[in-house]
Amino acid sequence: MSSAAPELTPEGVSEAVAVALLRHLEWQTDSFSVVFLLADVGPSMALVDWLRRRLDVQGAPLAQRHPNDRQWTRARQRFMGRVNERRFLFESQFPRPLVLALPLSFKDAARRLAPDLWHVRAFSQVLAAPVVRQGWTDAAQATAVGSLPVAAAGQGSDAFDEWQRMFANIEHGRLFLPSARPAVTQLLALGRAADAREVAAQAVAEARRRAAISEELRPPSVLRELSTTLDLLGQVAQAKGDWAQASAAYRESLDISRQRVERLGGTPEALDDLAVTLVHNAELPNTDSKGFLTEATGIVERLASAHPGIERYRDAVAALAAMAAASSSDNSRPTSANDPS
Amino acid sequence: MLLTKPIEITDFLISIAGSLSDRIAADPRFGNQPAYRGYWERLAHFIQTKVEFKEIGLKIEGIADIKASLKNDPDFKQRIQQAARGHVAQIVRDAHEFFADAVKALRSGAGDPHLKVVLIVDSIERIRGVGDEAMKVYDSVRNLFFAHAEHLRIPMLHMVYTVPPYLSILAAGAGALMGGATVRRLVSTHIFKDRSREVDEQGLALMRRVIAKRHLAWAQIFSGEALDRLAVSSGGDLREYFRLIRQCLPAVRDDTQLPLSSAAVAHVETAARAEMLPIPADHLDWLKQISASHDTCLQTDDKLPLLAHFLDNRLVLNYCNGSDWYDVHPLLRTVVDAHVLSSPRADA
Repeated sequence: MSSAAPELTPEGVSEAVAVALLRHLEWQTDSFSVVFLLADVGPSMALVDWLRRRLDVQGAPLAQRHPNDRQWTRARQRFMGRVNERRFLFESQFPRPLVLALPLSFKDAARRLAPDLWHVRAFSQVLAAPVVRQGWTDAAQATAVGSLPVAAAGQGSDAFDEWQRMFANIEHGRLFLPSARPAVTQLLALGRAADAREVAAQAVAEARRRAAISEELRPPSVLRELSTTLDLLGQVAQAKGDWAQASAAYRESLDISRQRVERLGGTPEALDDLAVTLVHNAELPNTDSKGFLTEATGIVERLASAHPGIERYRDAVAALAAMAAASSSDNSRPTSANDPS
Repeated sequence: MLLTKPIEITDFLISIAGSLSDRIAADPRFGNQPAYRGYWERLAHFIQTKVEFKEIGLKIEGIADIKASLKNDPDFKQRIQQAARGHVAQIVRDAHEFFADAVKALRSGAGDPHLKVVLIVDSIERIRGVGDEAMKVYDSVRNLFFAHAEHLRIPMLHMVYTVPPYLSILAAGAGALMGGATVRRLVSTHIFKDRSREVDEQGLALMRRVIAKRHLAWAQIFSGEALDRLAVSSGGDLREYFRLIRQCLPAVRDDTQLPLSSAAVAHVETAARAEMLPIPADHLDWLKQISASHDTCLQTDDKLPLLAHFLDNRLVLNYCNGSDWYDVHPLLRTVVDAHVLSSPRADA
């Protein structure tokens, strides 16, 4: 299920990053230079594959594997120290660019353990795998998603395999649509944004089909499913930097969420879902983000007040307060997760 | 030489003498003189005749083995150091004798009895410890240049040692102990006036000249304002300056964008700043002190590894407008200025 046409940029990697590295490798071919690539496995594999289709790239990102494994971490530390010490050998005997692909979390260690190499670097890039937020997923949970043991090159996504199996073998009316989310999460972590989009689109298509059934016959959860799958599609589009699609998906999700609140009379679940969708819409460019955040904050504060024992609502209040504070100190529009800015 | 382990005068002199010996042997002009005996043969003979080396079970197959092991085997290096401690004077004497013989061989080979020979010992500034061993390594460097300064004055040779910038902090006056050796700092170009953030136009002009020497038609690619902006953002560090300039180029899509304006190069500043972040709060405390005082503000020796990290990674730049002063990297100013001290003197 990979993309049919060759991509202009690698999946999950911004054009600025990809072009900067490509140009460096094209322009500096006959002398030693070093580039630090601090990345999650998925985006870096996507970037290397993309470069391979354009250049003669030898070797493969190895040193960034198993970012949380202690032995690998110790080996990387020793490697960086020795590479730093032997820099003169590279300069005299390796007259070509060297790209050091290391785990995202290794940035500080790389600077500390190989300060000379770091000082003479041509440049460095940070590539984080896009994360899919789950409702009120805060930064900590987003980090946890990003640290899922990602598959190395050549390995797939078990959640995606399961989704494909269900999609191929089960009557679509019986598809468990929430299983699209873990598939999308894993695919994005692997840098397979096109496949992630396909899963999200399939989930939306099925949710629409169910919603088109007459109101008397359809299950009450159908509208919620449509709203959440649209949010999922919007998050994938956002991760790819496709703001037009993200905007369309989030806005439709918002309309549906408001309908549900009107029809159901403001149940906690409907209000919670509305607040989540408002936050997504707040992240769109050229939108009334302050208005959306204010409305979402009002909703979650009422929920937290009415249900003080529910931690989720207290977390939501804190998360929105942090977002509002960040939004007021930074007027720049959100960019791709992989933008070096 | 292993650069992440403590160093002693014995293995230091062995490494230098061995390296010079290799260079002479590889040069057909000088290496074939019958009277000349390479250093490694001398060392191998010395090791074989001294009981201490046998006692520690040092197994040496040959000269190549010694060379490779000194470079790559921390355990071997440590055992050589241990065994050699009782023979420092002899090792120093043997090394100095070798250097003298080497100079004579070079003069004989060149046919010039007054030939001046300069030996540049590079990369000593890269000797730095990692983790818990860091302070031990820094102390060993101090000991080398302070306690053994006399042994580093090698007769008949002009010696140039590249030393870490913190050495003058660790071992003030080491140059005097070497018979008046001069310590020269390679500081950043003075693009700021003394102990201030005010731009020095002379420094900026110098930075433009540096570019003009490399590409006379630079104005076709960068406007003057853009180049000056990058010069200021580099803090006068030439390598950083070249890197910022290089990073502007891949974003150029066609000639209509040229010459690049000041606004068009802003993105590389953002990327360069991001490379230095994040900075822990306690590090920011210290950086704020440095920014305010223009001094290193090193309070205790055990904080030296962190200061070395600041200097190595150019978070702090060293300037010299008549006298040495320090400041945080220009691209970090907003971050450091915005930081609120977590305690009156967090690194004390």
